[in-house]
Amino acid sequence: MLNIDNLQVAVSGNEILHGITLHLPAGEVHALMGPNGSGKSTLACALAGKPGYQVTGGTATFRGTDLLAQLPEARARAGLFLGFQYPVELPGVSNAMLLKQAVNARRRQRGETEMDAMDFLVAVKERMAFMEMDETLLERGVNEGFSGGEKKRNEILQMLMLEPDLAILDETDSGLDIDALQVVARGINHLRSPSRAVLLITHYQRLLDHVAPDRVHVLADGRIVRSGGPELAKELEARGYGWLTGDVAGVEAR
Amino acid sequence: MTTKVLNPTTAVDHYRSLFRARATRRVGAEPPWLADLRAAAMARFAATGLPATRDERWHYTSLAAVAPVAFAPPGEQCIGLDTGDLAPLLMAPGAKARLCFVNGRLAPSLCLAPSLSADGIGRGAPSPRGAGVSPTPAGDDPTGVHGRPCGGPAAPPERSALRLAGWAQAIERWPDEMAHHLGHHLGADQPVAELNMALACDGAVLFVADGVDAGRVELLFLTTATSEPLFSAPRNLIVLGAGSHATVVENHVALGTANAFADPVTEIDLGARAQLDYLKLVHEPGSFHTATVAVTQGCDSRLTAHLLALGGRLARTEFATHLAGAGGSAQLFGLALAGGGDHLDLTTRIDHDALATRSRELVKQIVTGRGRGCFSGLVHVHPGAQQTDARLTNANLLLSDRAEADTRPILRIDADDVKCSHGATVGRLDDEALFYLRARGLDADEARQILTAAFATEVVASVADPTVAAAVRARVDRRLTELLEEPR
Repeated sequence: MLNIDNLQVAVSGNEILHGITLHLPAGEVHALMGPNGSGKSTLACALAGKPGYQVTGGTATFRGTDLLAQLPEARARAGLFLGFQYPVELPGVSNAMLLKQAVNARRRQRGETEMDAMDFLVAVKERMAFMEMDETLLERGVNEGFSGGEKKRNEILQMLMLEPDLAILDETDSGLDIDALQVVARGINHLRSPSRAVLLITHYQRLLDHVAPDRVHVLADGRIVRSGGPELAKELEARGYGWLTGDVAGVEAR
Repeated sequence: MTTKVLNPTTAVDHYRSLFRARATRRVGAEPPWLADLRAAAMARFAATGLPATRDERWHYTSLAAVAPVAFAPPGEQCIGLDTGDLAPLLMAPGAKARLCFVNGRLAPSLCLAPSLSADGIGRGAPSPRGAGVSPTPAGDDPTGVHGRPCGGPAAPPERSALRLAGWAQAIERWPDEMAHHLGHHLGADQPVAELNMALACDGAVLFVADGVDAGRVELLFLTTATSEPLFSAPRNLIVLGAGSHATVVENHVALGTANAFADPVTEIDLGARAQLDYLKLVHEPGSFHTATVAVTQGCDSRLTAHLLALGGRLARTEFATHLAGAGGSAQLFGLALAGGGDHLDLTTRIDHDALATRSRELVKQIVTGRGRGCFSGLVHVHPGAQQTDARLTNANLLLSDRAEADTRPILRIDADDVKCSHGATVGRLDDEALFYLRARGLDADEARQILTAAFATEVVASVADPTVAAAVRARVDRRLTELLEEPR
């Protein structure tokens, strides 16, 4: 699904990622963990195509096509979803309107007919109920005045509507209370399927109690320093990152 | 196009000669009190000439390009338009009353008012119930008072629930009220308003009786492209009696790019507890427009004003409301969309001059290309105007590096028990917001369009009348699309 090889990324001329290699097959959920400033969000932004994140070396392919050559909107329509760490508030842009435009942009890309207003409303209300969201949020400005938890649920709602092939969720668990965490986790688990892949970026292990990863990678100083199975997350919880951050020998992630 | 070029210093002479020409033509047709008003106004205009940028209120807008051109009122004109042509221009479609002016002159064939021809609408036949004998309750159907050609007993026109007429009819039929109001709502030192008084030849006059709900009224001012530089000075008067309601749309629009100088004045008087929703729109590409709107507000009156400028070579609106009665409130919303060829100026003044008055003002400007949007807003709390509650906000969105937005919010506070605040921002489209939309599959142009429209939404969504709001939304969206297609 996603193949990243020796990816180097710079922001404002400073190299943040010094050669990331990570292979995420369809059907798997990988967790990308690491201390603050290790480059986790930089990787997410670079993969989604955020302007200002300059790829200085390496490759990234998504379902066999060169991801890095595409505009961010093309990546989204092709089935890559980025769940934002800090979802932007857009006063004056209705949440329902954005959802509908986003869904239809993806459907057009797949050669499907656009969703009509009725079908859209049914689909979105069903998913809002699943995410335990108040329907009035639909008519509000995107994330406008939403609580932290509502913003993150809204990200997952968008993901469930867009049904991406690859979801990169950037610290979707941060700032959530335990109830919201469980709802968000349920949304992510709902998306899991043999044809999809998820990259969970997280600082803490607690989301992984609810969404079991197939693999765990640890990022430190712009390099993946350790990869392993779910037990690695438990070890990190017990021991912190300190014992790994010195260990930058460059362990290849599978 | 033959354009006589004047020496700038002779602009006063030019308008004085127009004044003499019209005075000669109109001898005997106007009452002496009006001739005196005009002569006094002409004298005051001649003393100052066109405003210069050294005048604080004209800090951002120079009339240097207006001065040398011999703008003149149209001669006999063939309108060549029918009501069907108006449909796409109307901002209050479905209004039961509409006056339409073409190049400054009333065009009766385009008006919507049953007995307009030679008289005011109110002349016709007020319904017995709404004839002002007993005030029509708010929300009651006011259609009966728009004057069916024949019907109920003929009440004195002064007592009609709603009277709407062109200027000439109003002067003839309601001279005392006209004399009472004309010029009385304006502040001192307003040269372009003086010029209007001197040369005004037409305009809309609306009287709403106490307690009456007048519904929606549209005043449409059309400018058509003419070969000669065109001058017009519409003079409007809107008077709402105690406890009455009205929605008035003043819509200035040019068909094509016209070489015109429009100098409209609208005076508004709100009686106690009266409620007016007033919306002024100007979209006159290539033209000069120097409007003055002056409001006097009585006790507990409520004014909501939308001042929208969608384009003009120079389009300036100077708006002032005087909160003269206790408990009055004014809500002002401004929106300017300036493209490459536009210079838009909104200058507002709110005078809190009585106990417990309230004002809210929100002005947004979107500027692209080499366009310029200028906002000056003064809130003056006069001595004794305790418990004033005022808030003034201005936000500006620049879509190009060459665009310019100017902002000058000013609070002047001469009372101590007040709550006042102001704020202004100038910015560009937020990169984070653009990326967020693109990350959801919207292309960059679409994302820019959505975020630009969203910036205007707060103003557009505040239009209370749903029909007018929909028309505003459509006009604003269309104009935004044009702006976004312009070279940045």
